[in-house]
Amino acid sequence: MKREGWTPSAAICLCMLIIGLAVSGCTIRLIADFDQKIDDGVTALQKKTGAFLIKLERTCQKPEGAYSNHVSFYDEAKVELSALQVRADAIALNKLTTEQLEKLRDSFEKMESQHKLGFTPIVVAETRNILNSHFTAILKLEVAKKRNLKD
Amino acid sequence: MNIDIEKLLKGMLEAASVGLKNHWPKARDYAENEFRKLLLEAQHIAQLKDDAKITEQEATYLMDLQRNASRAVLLTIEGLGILAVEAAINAALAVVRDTINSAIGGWKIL
Repeated sequence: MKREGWTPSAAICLCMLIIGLAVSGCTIRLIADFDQKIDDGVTALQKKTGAFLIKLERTCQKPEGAYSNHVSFYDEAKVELSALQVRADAIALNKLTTEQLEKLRDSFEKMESQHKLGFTPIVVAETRNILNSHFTAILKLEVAKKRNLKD
Repeated sequence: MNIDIEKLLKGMLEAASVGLKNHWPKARDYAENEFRKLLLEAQHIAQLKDDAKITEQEATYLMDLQRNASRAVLLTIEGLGILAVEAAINAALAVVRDTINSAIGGWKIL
């Protein structure tokens, strides 16, 4: 009759695994560690974007608020987002942050397209609110990766 | 447009709490706060469109941004859950380590 449950060899393997992990003194990592450069980069981009949108809310319906006067902002934001994306991609177990940054890049592309069509103050204000939620989500996860700290 | 924020919020929180199970309390405050903000923002966009303060194209644009932000929030909640599971596994490993250290006479070799 076939015996059900743990075979001796499976139980030994499990014990060896647990003891091995304990002996090695290592801790399991299921998600990437905190990355100061991601944290700093996202914070800097949030600050720069916030300042840009606050000013744009006032000027978007004046000549100075035209897209052609702000191409450099979008170019710089693209470079910064690309750098963040490359760094996030290079870190193991970091797919959540990578996807968050992909979505942020998509939002910036949409914002640029909308700027080309023309902004109104109310749309700029809403854009700022939504992007702030997005930035907060990225930073909340990054800070949580510090582990064992109250956040 | 009339969106029942509280009803939707309750549904979202229930769905998220099932996924996170015992680790839900750690993510609850953040999830509730962010879900509420997302729902209020969606309601606000719908209201602006109804009041003809924004065009349909602008409403579509804002909802696209909103969808991306919502996804980012959900990814953070998923990450908080993973971190909680990781902490539980490491706590269990620490118990094994302590037990083995005790069993070999209190030597701190592990």
